[in-house]
Amino acid sequence: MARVGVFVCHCGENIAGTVDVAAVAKAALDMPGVVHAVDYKYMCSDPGQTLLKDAIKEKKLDGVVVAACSPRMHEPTFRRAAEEAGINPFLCEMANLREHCSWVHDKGAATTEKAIDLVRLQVEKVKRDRPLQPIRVPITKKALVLGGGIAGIQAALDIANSGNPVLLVEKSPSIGGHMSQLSETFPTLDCSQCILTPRMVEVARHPLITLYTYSELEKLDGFIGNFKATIRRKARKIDEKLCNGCGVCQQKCPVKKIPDEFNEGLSFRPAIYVPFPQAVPNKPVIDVKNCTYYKTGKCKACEKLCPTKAIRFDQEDIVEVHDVGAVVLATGFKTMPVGNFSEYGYGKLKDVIDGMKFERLASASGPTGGAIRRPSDGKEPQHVVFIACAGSRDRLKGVPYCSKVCCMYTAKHAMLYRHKVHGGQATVFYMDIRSAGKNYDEFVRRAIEEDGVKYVRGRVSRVYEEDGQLVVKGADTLLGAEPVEIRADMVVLATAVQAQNDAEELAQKLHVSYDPYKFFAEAHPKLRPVETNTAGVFLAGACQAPRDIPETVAQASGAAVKVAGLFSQPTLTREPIIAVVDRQPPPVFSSCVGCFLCKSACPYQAIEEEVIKNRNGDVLKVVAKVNPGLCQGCGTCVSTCRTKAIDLEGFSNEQVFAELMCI
Amino acid sequence: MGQPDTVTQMHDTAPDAPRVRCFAVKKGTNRRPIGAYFSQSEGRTLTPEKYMSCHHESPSARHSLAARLKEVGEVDVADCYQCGKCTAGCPAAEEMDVAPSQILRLLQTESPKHEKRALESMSIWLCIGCETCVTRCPQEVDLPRAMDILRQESLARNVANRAADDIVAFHKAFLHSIERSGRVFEFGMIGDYKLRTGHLFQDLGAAPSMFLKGKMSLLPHGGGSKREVGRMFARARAAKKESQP
Amino acid sequence: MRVGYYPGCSLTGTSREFDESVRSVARALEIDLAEVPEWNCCGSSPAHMIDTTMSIALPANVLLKAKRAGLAEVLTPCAACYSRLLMGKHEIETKPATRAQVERVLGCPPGSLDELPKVLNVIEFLAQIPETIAAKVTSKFEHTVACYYGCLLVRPPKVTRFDRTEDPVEMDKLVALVGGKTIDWSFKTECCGASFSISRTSVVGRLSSKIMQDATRRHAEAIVVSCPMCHSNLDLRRREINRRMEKPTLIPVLFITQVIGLALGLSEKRLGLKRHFVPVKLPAKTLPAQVVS
Ligand SMILES: Cc1cc2nc3c(=O)[nH]c(=O)nc-3n(C[C@H](O)[C@H](O)[C@H](O)COP(=O)(O)OP(=O)(O)OC[C@H]3O[C@@H](n4cnc5c(N)ncnc54)[C@H](O)[C@@H]3O)c2cc1C
Ligand code: SF4
Ligand code: SF4
Ligand code: SF4
Ligand code: SF4
Repeated sequence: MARVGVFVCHCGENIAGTVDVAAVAKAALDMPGVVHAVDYKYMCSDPGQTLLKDAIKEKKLDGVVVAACSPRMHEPTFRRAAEEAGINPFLCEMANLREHCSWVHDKGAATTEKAIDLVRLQVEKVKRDRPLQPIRVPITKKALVLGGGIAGIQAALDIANSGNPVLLVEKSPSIGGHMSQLSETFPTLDCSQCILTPRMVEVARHPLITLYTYSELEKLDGFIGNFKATIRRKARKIDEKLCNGCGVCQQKCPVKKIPDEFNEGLSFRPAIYVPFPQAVPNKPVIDVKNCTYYKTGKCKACEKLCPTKAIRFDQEDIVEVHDVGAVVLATGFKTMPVGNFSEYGYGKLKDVIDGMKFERLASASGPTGGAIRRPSDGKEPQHVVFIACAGSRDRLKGVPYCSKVCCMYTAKHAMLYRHKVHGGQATVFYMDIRSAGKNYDEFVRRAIEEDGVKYVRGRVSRVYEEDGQLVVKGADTLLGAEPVEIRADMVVLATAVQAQNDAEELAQKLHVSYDPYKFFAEAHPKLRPVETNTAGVFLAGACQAPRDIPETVAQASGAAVKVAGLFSQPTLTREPIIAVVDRQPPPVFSSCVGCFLCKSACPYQAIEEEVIKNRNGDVLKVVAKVNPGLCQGCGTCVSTCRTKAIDLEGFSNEQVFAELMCI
Repeated sequence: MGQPDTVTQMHDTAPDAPRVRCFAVKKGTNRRPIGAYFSQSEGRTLTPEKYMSCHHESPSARHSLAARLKEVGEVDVADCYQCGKCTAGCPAAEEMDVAPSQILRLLQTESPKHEKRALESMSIWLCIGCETCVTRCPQEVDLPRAMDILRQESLARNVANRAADDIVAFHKAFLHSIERSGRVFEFGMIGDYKLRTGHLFQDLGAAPSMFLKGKMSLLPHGGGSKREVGRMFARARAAKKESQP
Repeated sequence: MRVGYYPGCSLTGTSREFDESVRSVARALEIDLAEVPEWNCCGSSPAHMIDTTMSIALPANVLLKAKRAGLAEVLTPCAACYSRLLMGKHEIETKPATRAQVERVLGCPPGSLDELPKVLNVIEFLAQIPETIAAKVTSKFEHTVACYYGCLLVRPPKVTRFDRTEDPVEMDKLVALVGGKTIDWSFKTECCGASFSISRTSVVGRLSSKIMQDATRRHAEAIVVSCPMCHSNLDLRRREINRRMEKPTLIPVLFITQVIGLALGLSEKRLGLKRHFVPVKLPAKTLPAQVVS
């Protein structure tokens, strides 16, 4: 006969304010198998845990139900206490009276009744619990960092500096991300390249960092500590070892008119190119789509002139598999295309540009050498209008959330413009100015007070072209919504920050969840901001939500610490909540009939085939077997098995049915 | 934390989950009546209606114009950011006494004083119904629909701005013409309008040439829908009376 | 080919030439226009402004009659009627309470308003048969024009079917189809003042003059419209407009069906060109032949 103890927590007022906790404890005493039931103000406190431990010892309990908050919160706490009192930790269960009951219902008899039901379920379950032993698995102490923007760079450096090797995989030909394109950065106006390039170089030189640019993750298998990453290294069409970065090929390539991605289409590049002078690695790639040789079979000018004979037209993609123990996702963001804005000209108006283009115009290394020139005719604009929240906070045509960085960079842009064009007028149309951050509001005030930027509170309704100028129609909502019409020479849209186009696909490859806008989801918005729901996969930077550089760097270092912490353990302990396939003595061996429906159903490829042979080596039977390292305990196989040969430890069919039958 | 990472857990943050959460935040409560748990038929999903029933509105709010707009026009003035984009694009804003976005502001406060200002404004009569505003509003606030309701409310409460008399007269003359002849008979309609407003000589410039060009006929247009349309108007009026005893 | 036809009040009065040109073009293209029997007025903006119920009931009655006459589609050239018919249908289809109310006003049995005919504007309709039109072009419309769409054809985008709300191109495509050239301009969908034609002529003057200004500045030889209200504001109110223009202008305003009619070689009379206030005088061919093809 079972000896179960029930401990009902008040959680201060959180539970006791809505649920009659004393009544729950009283009702529990009447449940078959329960020999002890009490309620207490804070079960998680030291005295609360002592209460539990003492009861286990004194009443010789062989099962414990703590009716309190979510198991995600305190299951480890109570299981540890149970273990200290001398019983197997897996004989301790939690009934969630807070999230599942008191928080979501009003006070009343029905609410208490539901709480009693929740306790009864767990009592039935705990009576059927078996002692389980945690599983130990080895850890591959090497990290994969996906994305070489400032987030990926910082994470890779921090992990490598903690003594662990890193494989940094970047999709484009160079690391650097968006930060490499920025001119100067708020709130200090220091040159972006100047602070970024030393870190890029450090990445390239670091003995523990392997850098794969122009590469992508194809597939990720395995689990925390034991991932297998399949990486495709796209063919650059040059031999990186031979190329010395002289640049002759770029000068001689006859294709000249490819819009330059790094300069946001404000200039052109050849078919063989290094994205920007400070690129890491400083080795070109051939853009196969635009190269004359790949299109017509003729040219090879670069090959003829390359002094080191580094061009390799026949180079193929290489696919490699790497063992890694942790993954940091740092794939960044994109901005909403200007073509999305019907009311601002659908991208047809050349002088309506986005913030990133403005960065390139303002950058000393940009196509204009840092002079502000409008794209249509190269003239210096005398009046520039900046439109904040373009596509952000716009549930009709854009995204409902705030993109967070644009208020600040718009102030920066207006300021830079005023510094560069004397006598030029800068007007910012905004809805709210969001400048919470160290020295941020001061920065915006400086734009207004010292640099004379005019801020008008109102959203712009329309921008159209008239006589070579742009007519901007807005309203000043601080003047009773008086219509304002400005004739501007250039309009800069602070376009919304969005998740990368391939974010969803990538999330699915890594089994991490994502929000409705395809930003990767953190495991807990407050307490686990750099972890994902998949153990061993961490987040850094703007792939999780719009972020500026200081936040990105802080988060990247946070993710690196998580990785280093994981790697500091000798082995990993995993919960033994896994599936097991029935085993019996011969001649049956197992109730499994070898249909392997489970194998195709398992999302983690954890089901293997076990061949049972007799002494002569004749095959007697082929049955399923679960790899305890891979199984995540999702239970999919259990529900597909026709002969009920698979069961889930800790959540057996018997337990689940008992739970259901008791209410 | 203590749980293994499973596929089922991914549903915690499945794409539709935060939506529900937003809704809860917006309506100011995340409590669900316990009835939802016990009643089988209600199931697990929360429909907006059910939500509304457990959201306690103050009694004054229930009778506000804002509440009425939500009820009959599905226009929620609380959605408005007061960003002014509607006003900025409104072709009639220059003529208006209260900017379109400010009309919504007047309703947002739910104070009778402000509501009166909205109902007595000229703006509700100057709105052309061009739908420019709602085509661009980031929050999809259906301002033209709000204007429709405000106009009708203003007429019902008899507080319409006197300066809009001619516009009201035009609309009435037009509808009158339809009621009588099933179609619009310009000559009769314009005559009716002029009688209602006393603008006897307005448009005199255009009228003669309109006759010459064969654009305005002196006789009502044909069509046998006359009586039928008259009956439709009568039924609509009767229904309206019934609904407001 | 047979299609339902709802001319609406304006086309029997102030915009007679629109009706004439639609019918002539249809005849030339061998399309049989089946007028909705005993149709009534759609209610236009006045109903929409002050009587919500009738603003849905009147169009519903038109569509019900069309349905009873066995018409699956109703061509509605007037943009205002088109908008009212489409909106009415939308309200009935999306709001059961409104549908019930309208059924009571119409005095028709429940269910009568199911599957109402599809409402087509003239641009949509012609865009369905580009080959038929192209095959019948006898004299290319070799002029550069500004296509003006106005409000009611394109808004609200949730109900109408134009995909580029702020910069529609469907009418431009039709003009190009018959050999014309169109300008890329900024006022394609800005409001002209619409129903304020009579009660607030000054508003119309201010708004329409901006439209005229942009079109003339970009050297359009004519403005092409598909809405009787736009037409009368830009044509009939030209004196009011010109008073506000830097340079008064006499560029004509044509209905899209008149443009197509001209290309099909129909006579000015049959297209009602003489009924305009601003005389339709288009400069001699301005396009070199190769540009057209
Ligand atoms: C116009 C503008 C101005 C700004 N100005 C400032 C400023 O002044 N100060 C400031 O603090 N912040 C500023 N920011 C914000 C700043 O750009 C971001 O905070 C920062 O770039 C985020 O870094 P990240 O590494 O997370 O993302 P990113 O910079 O986007 O880097 C992501 C990297 O991942 C790579 N990648 C993407 N997908 C994959 C994949 N599937 N596999 C491998 N690699 C992949 C990309 O190629 C890229 O290199 C500005 C932003 C904008 C839009
Ligand atoms: S082969 Fe291609 S990359 Fe090389 S020079 Fe010719 S076009 Fe340029
Ligand atoms: S940061 Fe500022 S500009 Fe950007 S979306 Fe938020 S409020 Fe708008
Ligand atoms: S555009 Fe929309 S959100 Fe902005 S003020 Fe107008 S109604 Fe409000
Ligand atoms: S519908 Fe009315 S309020 Fe909206 S833009 Fe047009 S005239 Fe202005």
